[in-house]
Amino acid sequence: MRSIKNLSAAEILQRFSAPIILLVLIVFNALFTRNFLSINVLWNAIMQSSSIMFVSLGMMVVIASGGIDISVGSTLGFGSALLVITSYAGGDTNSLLAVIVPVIGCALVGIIQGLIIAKFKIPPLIVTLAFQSLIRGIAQYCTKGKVLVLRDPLLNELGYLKVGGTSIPIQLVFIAIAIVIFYILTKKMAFGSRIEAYGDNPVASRIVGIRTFQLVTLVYMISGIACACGSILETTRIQAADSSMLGLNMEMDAIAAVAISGTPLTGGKIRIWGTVVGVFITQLITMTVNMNNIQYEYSLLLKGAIIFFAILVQKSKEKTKKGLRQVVQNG
Amino acid sequence: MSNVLEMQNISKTFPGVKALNNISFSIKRGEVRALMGENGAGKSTLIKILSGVYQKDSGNIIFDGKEIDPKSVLESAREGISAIYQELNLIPYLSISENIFAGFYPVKNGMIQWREMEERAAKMFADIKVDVDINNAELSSMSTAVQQMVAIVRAINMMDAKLIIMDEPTSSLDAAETKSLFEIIRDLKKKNISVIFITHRLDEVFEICDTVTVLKDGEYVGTRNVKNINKYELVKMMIGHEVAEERKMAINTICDSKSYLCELRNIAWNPKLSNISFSIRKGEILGLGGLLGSGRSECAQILFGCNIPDSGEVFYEGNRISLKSPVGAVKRKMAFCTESRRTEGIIPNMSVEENICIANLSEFSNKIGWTKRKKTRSETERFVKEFSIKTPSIKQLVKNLSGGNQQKVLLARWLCMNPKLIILDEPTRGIDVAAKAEIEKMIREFAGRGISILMISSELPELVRNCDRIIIIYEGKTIKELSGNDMSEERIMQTITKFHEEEQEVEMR
Repeated sequence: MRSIKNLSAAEILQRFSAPIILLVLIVFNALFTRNFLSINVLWNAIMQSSSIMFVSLGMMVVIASGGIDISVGSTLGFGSALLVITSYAGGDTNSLLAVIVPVIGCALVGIIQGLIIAKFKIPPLIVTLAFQSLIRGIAQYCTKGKVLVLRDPLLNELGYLKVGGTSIPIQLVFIAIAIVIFYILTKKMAFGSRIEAYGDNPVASRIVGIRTFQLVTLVYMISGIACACGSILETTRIQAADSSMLGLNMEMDAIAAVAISGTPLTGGKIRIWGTVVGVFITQLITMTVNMNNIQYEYSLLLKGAIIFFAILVQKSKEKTKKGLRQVVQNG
Repeated sequence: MSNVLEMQNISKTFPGVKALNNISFSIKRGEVRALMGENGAGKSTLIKILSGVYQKDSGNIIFDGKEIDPKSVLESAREGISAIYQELNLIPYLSISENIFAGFYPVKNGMIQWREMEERAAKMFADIKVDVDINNAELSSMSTAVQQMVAIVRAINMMDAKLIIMDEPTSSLDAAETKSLFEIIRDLKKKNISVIFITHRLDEVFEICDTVTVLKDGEYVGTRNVKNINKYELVKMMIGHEVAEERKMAINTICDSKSYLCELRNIAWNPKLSNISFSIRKGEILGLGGLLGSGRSECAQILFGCNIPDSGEVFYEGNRISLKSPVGAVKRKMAFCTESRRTEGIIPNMSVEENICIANLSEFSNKIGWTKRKKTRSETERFVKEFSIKTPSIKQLVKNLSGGNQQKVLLARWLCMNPKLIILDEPTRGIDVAAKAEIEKMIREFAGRGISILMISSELPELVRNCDRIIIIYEGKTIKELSGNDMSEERIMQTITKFHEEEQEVEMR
């Protein structure tokens, strides 16, 4: 790694494109969006980003392993349904159970997907696409298609809890916990190296004795658990479970966040800080649109354009000689 | 104008490395020129500049009488320069004829003329006397050798090449295939097409090339007519100092004839292996010899648990084992350096450090899986020094190293888990003379420490030089064991041809 001083302006732009875009978005909003700079807006942004943060970090791990998980939105909806239903069944004393059940349920969803992918070698895109529909269906079946209101005093309070008398929302703490956990998991533990190795060269990884079957299953389980955490945050914030709408299209935001970070979608690299910034960018775009009353169709355009631009800047730095890559594998 | 190509003062710098410094030479029409040098000498960079993959920093390229500066492979192909890389640019899911004609399909009224295409392709392959299914089978189901032939046929017939660059074309060919490749090259000569032939094998230079150009560390060393130079002088040019052809070390003293580490008994794996039996002693270097496709690599894959045999038994340290995956093999301290370093060996986008530590992560992390960075760093640095791996730092991505250094990284990867058995499949393929000698020396040193080695090589001299015993495999069967004074190139070839003739006699009857 060269020190920052030796980099040209173009290189700085490329390496720090994600933070720069985030900064530009903030400056733009500070100048043109009324009330943007108030502290409430900031806390609101944090609250809204918390669930997608968990989901995106899970997605980051899946993508690093060379896979993809587009069932995350449905899994989040499923977790939310499980949470509210358990809270009904358990009465008002069982808040803890209401949090544990979705975690177990979503972890199982991830494990099943992982097992199918590892065992039958079906492309992750296909498996998780099928599960996107399947899990959404199960979630709607569980709630009978209705919106279930969360009526658990403890959990109702959790969504709007502030840190020690200040106005800082509890979600900020959860975001911090998520980052720390994923940082340790991927950067400090051998697990992270194994994922990167598997994503980069699955055949070589198998030969060096990595338990690839276990690894793949574990990766999708982590994504499932991340979705469960997201569902708990989202349900306690909205105070209801809407199994048909909650988490809809969330996989796209999560993939976008990972892509903005510069993580190659072919796998092999984990960029945790880039993903965190990517999450804030996608959420800030949504907020900018909402607060400026931009029409929905324009907002979609804007979102697409910004994500595309971010990825384009990232890509230009890795002009690889594709023509020389080995395309023929020995039969 | 008798020169097809003139390179004048070509220079190229990569961040931190001067890859080429003022290279000048010229090639005549119909000349076969060997381009030699150790790994990292600049051969690859030079041909990539010629074929438009890289752009030169300075200097001129005069091709076919006019100055060119190709910016892409397509541009250089249009000028008449065709490069056949070690990694082939073919489409694995198409047939051979489709691969040959890709982009040049014979078209009438907007429709591809399949029959014409197939007939022409059949003729091209008949010309070079290669007998394969060119229309129905997918290319990916063919051997590397056939795929290489396809690339060559395509360059000659489709691209109308005036200069063909072959980057180690023989590294994946067996003796017969090499012979037919040389036939093709002689044909090219007759058609006044020039060839740049990159190889590490000295014999081939003297057999097929007219002249040889040597590069060293990005500098031009010289060009000689092969008639005016001998092997010894050529090696001296390449490495700059003299190396005596190293004779085999005295038979291993540690090698204890009584204690076997592992044994394969009557292994069959359809359709590649029918009856394989051999055993490896502790601290011995056992060679597996045989023709390409005889089942040598498959034996290694079975032993390591990559494939599960249909029948037969594997014994390891006295116990019968049946491995389901390489996980069990690694746990039992077996190591496997695979044949294709790039696709099955290195993890290209990870650093040298990560590549070395990946097989031994459990050793480098504490009980809860926390990686001990200090230990991985110090171990890596120790290996980089001990094996003299040339890398700017241990954080360098392994894909940026040369072939020889990548192989050293792989050896280091396995050695750091203290293996009892190392399986080496073509350990020196595509590696230059100096690094080859180093790696062979390392292998013998490992055996000296009591590690058993199973070595597979297409290069007979390499087997004879290093092995304590050699097992000969023919069409999936172990047919002979050679040891001591019986081990020579001639004996191995004799054994194979004799067995081949006997087989045919049986068939006749």
